[in-house]
Amino acid sequence: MKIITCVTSVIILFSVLALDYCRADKEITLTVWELSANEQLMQRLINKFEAQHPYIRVNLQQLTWEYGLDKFVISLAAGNAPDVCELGTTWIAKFASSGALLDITDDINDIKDKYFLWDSAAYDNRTYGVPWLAGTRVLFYNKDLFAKAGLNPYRPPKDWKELLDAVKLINNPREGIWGFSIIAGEPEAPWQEFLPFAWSNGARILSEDLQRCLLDSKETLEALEFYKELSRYSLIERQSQINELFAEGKIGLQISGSWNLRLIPRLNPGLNFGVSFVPKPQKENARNIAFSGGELFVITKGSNHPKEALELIKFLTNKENIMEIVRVQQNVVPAQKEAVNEPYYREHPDQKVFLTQLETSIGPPNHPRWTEMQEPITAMIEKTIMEGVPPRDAIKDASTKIEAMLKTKNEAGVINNKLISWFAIFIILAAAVFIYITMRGNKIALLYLSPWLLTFLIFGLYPLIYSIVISFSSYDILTSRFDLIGLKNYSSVFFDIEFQKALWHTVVFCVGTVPFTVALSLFCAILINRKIPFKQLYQAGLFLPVTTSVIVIATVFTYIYSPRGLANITLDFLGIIHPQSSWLNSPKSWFDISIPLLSIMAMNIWASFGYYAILFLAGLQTIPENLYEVADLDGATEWQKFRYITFPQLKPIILLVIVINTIYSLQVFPEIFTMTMGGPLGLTTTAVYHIYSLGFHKFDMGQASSVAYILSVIIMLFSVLQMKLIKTDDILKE
Amino acid sequence: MKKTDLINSTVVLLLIALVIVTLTPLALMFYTSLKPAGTLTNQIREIALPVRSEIRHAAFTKINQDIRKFSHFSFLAKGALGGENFEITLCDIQGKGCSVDSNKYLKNGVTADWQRVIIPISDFNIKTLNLGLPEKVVEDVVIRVKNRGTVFMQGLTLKSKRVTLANYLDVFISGYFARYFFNSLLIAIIITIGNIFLCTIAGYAFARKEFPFKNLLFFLILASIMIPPQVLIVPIFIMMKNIGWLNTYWALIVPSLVQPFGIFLMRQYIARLPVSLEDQARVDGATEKQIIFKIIFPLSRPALAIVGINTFMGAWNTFLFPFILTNTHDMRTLPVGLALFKNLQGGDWVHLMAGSSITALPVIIVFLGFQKHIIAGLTTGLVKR
Repeated sequence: MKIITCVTSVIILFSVLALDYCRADKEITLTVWELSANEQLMQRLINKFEAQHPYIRVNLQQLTWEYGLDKFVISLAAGNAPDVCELGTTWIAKFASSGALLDITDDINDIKDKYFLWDSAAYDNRTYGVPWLAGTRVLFYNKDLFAKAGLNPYRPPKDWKELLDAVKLINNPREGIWGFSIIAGEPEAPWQEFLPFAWSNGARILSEDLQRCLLDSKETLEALEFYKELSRYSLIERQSQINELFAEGKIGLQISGSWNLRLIPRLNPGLNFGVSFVPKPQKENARNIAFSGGELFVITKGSNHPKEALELIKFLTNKENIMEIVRVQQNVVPAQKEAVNEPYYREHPDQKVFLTQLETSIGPPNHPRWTEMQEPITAMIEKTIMEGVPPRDAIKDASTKIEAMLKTKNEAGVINNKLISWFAIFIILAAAVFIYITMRGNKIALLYLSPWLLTFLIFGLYPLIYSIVISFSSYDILTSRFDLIGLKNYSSVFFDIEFQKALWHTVVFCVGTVPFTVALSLFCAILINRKIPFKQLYQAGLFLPVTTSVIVIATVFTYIYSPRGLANITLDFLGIIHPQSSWLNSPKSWFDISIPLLSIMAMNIWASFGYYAILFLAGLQTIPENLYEVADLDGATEWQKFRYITFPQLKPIILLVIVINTIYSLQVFPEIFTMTMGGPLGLTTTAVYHIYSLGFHKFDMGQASSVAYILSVIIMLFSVLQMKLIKTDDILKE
Repeated sequence: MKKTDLINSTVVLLLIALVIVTLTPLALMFYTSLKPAGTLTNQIREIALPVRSEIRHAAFTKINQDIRKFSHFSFLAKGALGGENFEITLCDIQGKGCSVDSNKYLKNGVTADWQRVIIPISDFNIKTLNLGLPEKVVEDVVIRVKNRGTVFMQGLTLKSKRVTLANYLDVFISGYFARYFFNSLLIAIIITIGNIFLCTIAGYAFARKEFPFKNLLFFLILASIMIPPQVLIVPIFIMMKNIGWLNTYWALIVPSLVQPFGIFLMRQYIARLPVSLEDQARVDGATEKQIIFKIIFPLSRPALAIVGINTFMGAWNTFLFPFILTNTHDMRTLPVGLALFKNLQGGDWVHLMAGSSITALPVIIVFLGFQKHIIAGLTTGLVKR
């Protein structure tokens, strides 16, 4: 019996394993990252796909617009990219030229004629992506405001003259109504709104062969001057605020995308608005050219299952599934040529406007460095309309910068980054051995210190050495190859205007927050230390901001600083006039110290003073009571007591607080990252944000590392200087 | 004496004013998170729905709103003859509907005179709407009159709720915040326990033991605070990827298990403990292990409290590394989830504030609970006598 049971169980086990092996062999998993569609909806479509393909499992991840690109870059850098990813059309050239994407030119013949946007999916005459959703911008206008201004609400402006007239008529600052709205303070939207004006006027950014910059032309100048004229009657703000205010009926016209078709009724169901084509100049042969962008699906080169990935993409982008997305979300435009015939569009004429506008839309040039080029163009726009720089100069500026980018060729590095790893590991091992040998005699100390030593060596020293080596090289994060270039990174840092500005902002931040924080917290501690009831309540109240995450604070303060947030409401209440925009987007500055920067500094003081107050409080409680009693007997005033007893006793703690506070404020980053992304016009870029931007937006890790070390040296100098100035006993000497 | 009282009163007033200013943003956060929609100034109290005043068989009006944010319908109705009944249906985008009959509220139907009718939203079975999506967005409201009657309607409005917990529900379920919460909690607790233990033994080594390069190593601990972590991201990221720890708990926990701040603090505190206790114990034959566990740890409780709380707060609130090192929903922590929560619909403050509140609450509770320990510990530990 036993043998039979044994054999049977073995056979069963074997067959199960075999079956599993067969199935496992066939079953593959694909990872998909997407940004644009509702996640539950995508999951539904994916379930449908999985049902049709039993051996394919699909893992869906939703990203956000603000950080999606960063995450993709990071994953490529680590070789951990998904099989399929949604990318914006403006990003294709960069990634394709780095060799990160799969060339699918030969596999798309069956769908080539059915979709728009193939131009934007190509680089160097090869195709790297499949168009999925198209984005374009059209003119939104408020019919009620039109009627009120005496304009015909059924005749939206067709050309520039009509647009300017309408804007002037509607603009009514006394009632808080703007004629037009322009997006600023964000990286992409400003040029997406402006360039259509330039394009419609016949201007071009780069030549067809992508070799020359054609920005500096009469056509661009005319467009920019017209835009500047429009800006006099416009709300200049970030996109989200414009959305809100347009929905509330405070803006006459804006250029925006299809998401507003759903958002506006959601925010204000009663708003009477219409959409129309982007106005064109009154020249002959001018066409209304809008911005066209879109979303493509790409396959990364490292994917193990390209065939299945392509099948999934073709499934997700086919007409049936796309129309499903259109139907549910009602705020996307399909990249399908035949979609315009769908009965759906007869019922939704507004959405049809987008589809039709798509036919005369073009996208920005397909240059690999476009994502870097959009910065000077955004700067050109913002400088003209926010700083009053003459358009001619702004255009020249941008043109020069773009020409410089065209000249420098990004050559792939030679050495593989694994070399750095081995080098760093070697040093770590050497250090470990050295430490072991020297501390062999104190086994216990060694044992107790080993967790910290290990952590320090592996997660501290190793990355340190790695990044020091990188700082002496040009390291392309996308290809992981580098070239040693000596001190070039360090020396070029000193000529970098962006860095100088960032450093200035950082110093301003430090000098502007530390004294106030220290003074305020000391003041509070002294107050609480008196003989009053409910001390714990005050302590708790003042400390609460410290306990909350920077992200939470950043989110809440973005809310407070928004155009109709608490800050502006308070100013209204006090009767102080103020610009209607968000405090984080106001370009006013004195010596490059701007309102957004000051706002973040105020927030920083609010968020941290409670912590130091508690430290001071502890210190105060150790000062012997009798000192004060003696002083009282001698008839000392409060101020004298403070100056001669409290302050000297507290010196060590004051020093500690100043040093800690300085170090943290010189490294300020998460607030900038979530609130302003370094803008507007780079006015809130601090040193550490500059480092991040160098590494992850300009893909120059070498430069980023060198700036980081320069910053570290500066921080150390500051700290030592402070310790020397406030002469007290060294805290280290215990 | 009077002078002191006067000063004390002003002090109290000042402190109260300061505390109010300090707490206002947080109060604002909680307040907004409970609102169904809108912002501080833009309160949407009700929505007027245009509908035909004379309804023969049926009438409908488009609303396109998330019905969970509203409390009831309110309108005036009367019938042509009296006694008519009608049915109100909420339809979602796919045409699925849920209905409620008027005879639930008007026993004998409408009368020939105008009557106010109030229909609470809670009477609708809204679960059947929009099964695929979490929001219960109603596209149309359809009113059907029974038995071919005619009903007149006036002033159909949809009143919004005053406060709602819907935002929290949204954010927990479809916003994945429940999972983020769990991740944050798990990671913070493990890191805290790790630090309490490992920093103490390291601090003890620095305070009591002699070994070569002691000062250098201690200096390294302080210096490590000064290097901007942003520059270490890429090497650490590549390292994590190579050892397969990307997007796992390991990457988020292990590098933070013993932090320089904790070592510094424990060293300062232990150095001030009387050596005599340990010497006595050694004379009595205690092992090193016993000294650590039976003497040092119990005596260091105040400092341990500070290290614990600081570490917990730091681990809970940390943003950059979890952001870089995680890729998927199931691994993210609360701050990362909050930062990523902003979507195309800019201005969705109510959900953002709900998410912020969830992120902020636990730490606030921990702090309020352990407040006494912090103060006590700081008093005896950190400050020179």
